[in-house]
Amino acid sequence: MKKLARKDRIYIIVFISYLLLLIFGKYFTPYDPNQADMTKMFASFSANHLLGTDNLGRDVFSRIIAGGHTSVFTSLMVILISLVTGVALGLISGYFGGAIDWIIMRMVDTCMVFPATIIAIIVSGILGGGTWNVIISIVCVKWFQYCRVSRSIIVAEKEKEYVMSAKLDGMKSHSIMFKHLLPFVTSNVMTLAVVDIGRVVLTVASLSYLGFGIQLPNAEWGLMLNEGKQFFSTHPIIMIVPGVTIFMSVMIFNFFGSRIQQMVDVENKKED
Amino acid sequence: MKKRGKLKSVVNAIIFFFLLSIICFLVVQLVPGDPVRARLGEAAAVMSKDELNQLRDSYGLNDPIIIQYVKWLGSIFQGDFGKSLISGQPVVLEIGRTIGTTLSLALGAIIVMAVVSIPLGIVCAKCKDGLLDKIVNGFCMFFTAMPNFWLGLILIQLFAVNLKVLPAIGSTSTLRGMLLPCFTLGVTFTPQYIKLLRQNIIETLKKDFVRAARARGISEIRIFFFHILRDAFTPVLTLFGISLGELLGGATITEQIYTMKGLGMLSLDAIKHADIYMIQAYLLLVGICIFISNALVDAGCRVLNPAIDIKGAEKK
Repeated sequence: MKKLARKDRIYIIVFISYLLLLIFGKYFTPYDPNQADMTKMFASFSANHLLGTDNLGRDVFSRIIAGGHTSVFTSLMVILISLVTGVALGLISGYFGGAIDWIIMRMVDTCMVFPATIIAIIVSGILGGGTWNVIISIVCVKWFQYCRVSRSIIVAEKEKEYVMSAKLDGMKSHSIMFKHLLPFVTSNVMTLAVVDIGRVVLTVASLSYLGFGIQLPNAEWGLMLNEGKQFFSTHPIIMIVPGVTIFMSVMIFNFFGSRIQQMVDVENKKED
Repeated sequence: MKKRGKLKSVVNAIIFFFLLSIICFLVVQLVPGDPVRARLGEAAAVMSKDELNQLRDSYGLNDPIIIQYVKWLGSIFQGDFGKSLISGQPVVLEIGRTIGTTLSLALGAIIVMAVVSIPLGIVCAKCKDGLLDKIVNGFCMFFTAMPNFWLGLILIQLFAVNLKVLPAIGSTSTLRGMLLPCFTLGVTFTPQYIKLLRQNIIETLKKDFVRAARARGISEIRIFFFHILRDAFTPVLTLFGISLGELLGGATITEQIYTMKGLGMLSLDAIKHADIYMIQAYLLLVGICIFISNALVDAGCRVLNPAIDIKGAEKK
């Protein structure tokens, strides 16, 4: 890989440090995010409580950081699981073709028809809230993108001569898939995954906002919005802080995602 | 060729509806707990096990799952979707009562989408890399990252609470009541359209037929509106087909924010109370709506760009 431009290096550093902050920040919060203190309800910004306190006197800054952990953990898990399932099915479908391909593709077609938000709401509503159920419900609407992309790459790639020669050498199907075909899929699928992070964070937040996502007393940004909603007219600040956090995070993820996409596009063009 | 294509799409449609019905049926099986107890509510506590079992028999819940599925499918074809567990009224009636709100909300959002994204997309493509292009790009980044529930709440706070110019509760009967919900729902979809339209127009501008049209001395305005836009619109229409479904999903959130009694609110209530018949009917309805709209979009693409048919035939 060529040396990165200075600008890109800055993007990557910002992105990774933000991720680390969200993932590990939870262990360094100034207060316990779930510790209620009724004597200090709706405190405004101060040195003690950087972002004030909410309706139960909990420190908003600590809750934002703890919520970031939940959001990022959930979103990364969603992406990871959809990636593995989607790519695995895509590999099988593209490599073997025939009846398996037909079945998997009909599944993908049917899943694609359903609007993601509705399915995620219904699945998490039926399973009940909680981190893992949220993850499952969003995986239900995410896996098929990866499946489609990896299948289309495999279908084009498996006709090439080196795959033929590997077959003639008596290589087993699964090792052809893992050793020769998988590397081709990775770069495309990884880009898709990075671009997707922002969208998944938004979906998690909206599920929690509707009350079908992460459940109390856990902290999560969408859930904080849901809780703060009723105090919006009197204390708008406890609504604005989580909103801005979601907005900023999705912005950072999207920005990084589109940058990565551009870089990969340029690389691909060079190869051609 | 054409006949075979049609047959193929009919077969695909049948397969789709088959899978759709299986999914809708299985959703009910996923609901935790006993459907008989759920239907009876508190009355279940005083009944003996035998009585419960009898009831289960009468509902056909002890039959093998495939027979249950066939029976269910039969009743669907007769238009019987069951009764809502919340209100006790037929599901079809409830849906009929609320669907108008959601449809007008969606229509309003589509108008917002078109009004915002088509001019901006064209302007961006025309002054590519200019100042205006950069501003619109910023606008796009802003609204892609914006959670639409938060946007809705902020708009309520701004226009209904602080400025007091628009009502906080949406209603489909007045234009003022529609303004905020439609804007909230529509504007979050605009970035993808602006980007796609910009990209397509820029690419179309380079194509040979545009140069040929110029060589024939056709006026720039005519070329732009009749030749370039027509070509650039096909992918936009395809994206629109995908957005329709998301529009229904987004409507759920928007209706919740503006407390409008639409299909979305109905489904949220149904999910909260595990009202299985309502969820089933809702899923079926959404699936069928989207299938039909996709078919319409497909036909629209063919009208806009007859080359699709020719290319499809060549491939075979």
